[in-house]
Amino acid sequence: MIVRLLKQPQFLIGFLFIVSFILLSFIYPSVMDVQKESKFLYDENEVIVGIAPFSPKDMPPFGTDMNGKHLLYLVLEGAKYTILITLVIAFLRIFFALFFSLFHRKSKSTFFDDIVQATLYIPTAILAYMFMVPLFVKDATEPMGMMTLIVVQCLILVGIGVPPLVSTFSEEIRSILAKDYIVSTFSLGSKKPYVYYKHVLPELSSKLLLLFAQQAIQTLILLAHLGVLAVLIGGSKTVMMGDIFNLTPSTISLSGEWAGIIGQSYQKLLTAPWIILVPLSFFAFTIFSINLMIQGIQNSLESNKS
Amino acid sequence: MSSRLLEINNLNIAFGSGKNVFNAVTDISLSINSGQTVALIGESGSGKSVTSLSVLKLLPANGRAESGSISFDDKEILQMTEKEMQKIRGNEISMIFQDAIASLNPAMKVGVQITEGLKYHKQMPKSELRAVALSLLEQVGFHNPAHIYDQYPSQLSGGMKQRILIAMAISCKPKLIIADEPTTALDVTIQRQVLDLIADYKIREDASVLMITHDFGVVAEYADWVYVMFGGRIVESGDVFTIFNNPIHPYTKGLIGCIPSLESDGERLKSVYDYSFEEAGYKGRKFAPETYSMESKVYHAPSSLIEVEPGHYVRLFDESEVTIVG
Ligand SMILES: Nc1ncnc2c1ncn2[C@@H]1O[C@H](COP(=O)(O)OP(=O)(O)OP(=O)(O)O)[C@@H](O)[C@H]1O
Ligand SMILES: [Mg+2]
Repeated sequence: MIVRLLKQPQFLIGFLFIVSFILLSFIYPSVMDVQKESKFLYDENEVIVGIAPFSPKDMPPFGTDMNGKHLLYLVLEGAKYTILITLVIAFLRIFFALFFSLFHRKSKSTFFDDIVQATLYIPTAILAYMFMVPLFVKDATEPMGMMTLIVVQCLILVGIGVPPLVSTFSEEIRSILAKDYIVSTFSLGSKKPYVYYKHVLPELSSKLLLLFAQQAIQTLILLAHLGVLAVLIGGSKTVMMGDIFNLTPSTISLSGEWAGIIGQSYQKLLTAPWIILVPLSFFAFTIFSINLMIQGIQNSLESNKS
Repeated sequence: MSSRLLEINNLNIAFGSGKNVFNAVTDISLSINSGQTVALIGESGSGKSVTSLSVLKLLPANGRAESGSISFDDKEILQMTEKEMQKIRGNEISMIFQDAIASLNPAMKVGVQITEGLKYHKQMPKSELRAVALSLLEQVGFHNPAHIYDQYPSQLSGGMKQRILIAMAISCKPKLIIADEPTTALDVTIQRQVLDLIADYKIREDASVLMITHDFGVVAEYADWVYVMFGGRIVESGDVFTIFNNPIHPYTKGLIGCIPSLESDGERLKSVYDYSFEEAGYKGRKFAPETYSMESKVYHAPSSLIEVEPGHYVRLFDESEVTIVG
């Protein structure tokens, strides 16, 4: 399976992008000559000629944010959190959904299905927002620590993805169970657990990777949306920024993932658009890479059939 | 007189619920003695597969046996629990399916699939399982069983797959084999091979066979007794010589009139209702369940199987006057 996948060029390219992102994110401080901050720009005479944020033209490649932090490093730093959180959420979604659909198939509750169907049309970002806001309120009154907050937030993000997946899985399992060879193995006297273990799960597993990748994309999109809504993984802190004449409160992401970069400076969309566009395009690029992988997976599933 | 092995009485099978109820099988009675080959013949959609699946209680989830009885070895199948059925399936009754390609799991070695039934019904160590599987493969005509054992279904031809299905079906030496059009997808020479394998097994183990087919040629060659099915009902039944020499129902006459020649490639049977015999009726009563007039199908009315000579039944309308509507 893995070998066959790696032979699909699309999968390989996407895979390499993602892996190198994560690797770079971990090792960049030791391989790059890192100068993370440039708050001021000086001329030859050491006279200040500019103040952060700097556009990509002044500070290639990506410019800096309000505090003079180079976006390149912010984005690299955030890559590990963003991608790993995404993968964990996608994995847990698949895991729980599979668990529920295997052990909860007895209750053919159409009511549950209907509810799930109905919620499918609510943008997930809004659903997540509704669940997250009370969390922040609670965190503000009795702080629960960044780790706890991250865990609870991830659970919410996992939770809203599970019900639709359960329907997908149940549907998938139902269609496998309707196949002729399942009837055939039952006609030999097979018992249900055996049929699930030997026939249904293996068939399902070829689809799992695909669904996992799709979930990863959904999660990334969701994170990006939440970032714009200033709902940041790991919470945020409001600080006073600007010069003494022009103090403005702004939110700072505590975990450094990409959505945080967006969330803390989305008010600057007009004056310093690159601060938002850079992390957004990294979101886009990651999604693109995973989509490449999905294409590869689909190709290999197709060639598997023939 | 050999003993009754399977007896189906007044079985009704329906699909769906509420307004969408569809009666796939109506009032079917059928019996098989041990050592006998009984043929169930009829056009596509007449309810043959549904009838045979109900014997193993493997109807699709939306279907059910509404009334009637199915007794096997004097035990009532319709009353059995799922657990009791699991002991019967594959062990006492097994089934060879219509579509060999779809009936094998494409992702599992055929050798392993052959041993599935054995795993359940015969306690034996793994090494022995393999040995039995190899000998089964040999029994169904493979000269290189060890090689075939490790193949996946996609690596085998249609006829080979069908033989694998037969090996699966006979693995636990069942008393009854239900062969649901086992040769539809095969070309003529291979059809023979496959049917002969089933017939061999039958003789070797003194088993019974319910042979489902739409090919009267197969019936003539392999069956002792025939049930002709049409629109979910038995329309004529009797021993194979009687039916061949003295068919009465227009549908049977049509079937016999169009025994596929060796060249035809198992094409699906269209309706072969023979209108030319329709007008005659039988002793003043019209043939059920449908009556044709000027090529338009009309009328549904109570009907029953009438014994026209000992052991030979034909379905006729209960009333002698059938009003033709529409
Ligand atoms: N799962 C199902 N749901 C609803 N109707 C069904 C279902 N399975 C079968 N039927 C109906 O039952 C009737 C009998 O089907 P069956 O498969 O027994 O036909 P058959 O005689 O085996 O035909 P063939 O020669 O094509 O195999 C058909 O009209 C079919 O539409
Ligand atoms: Mg059929």
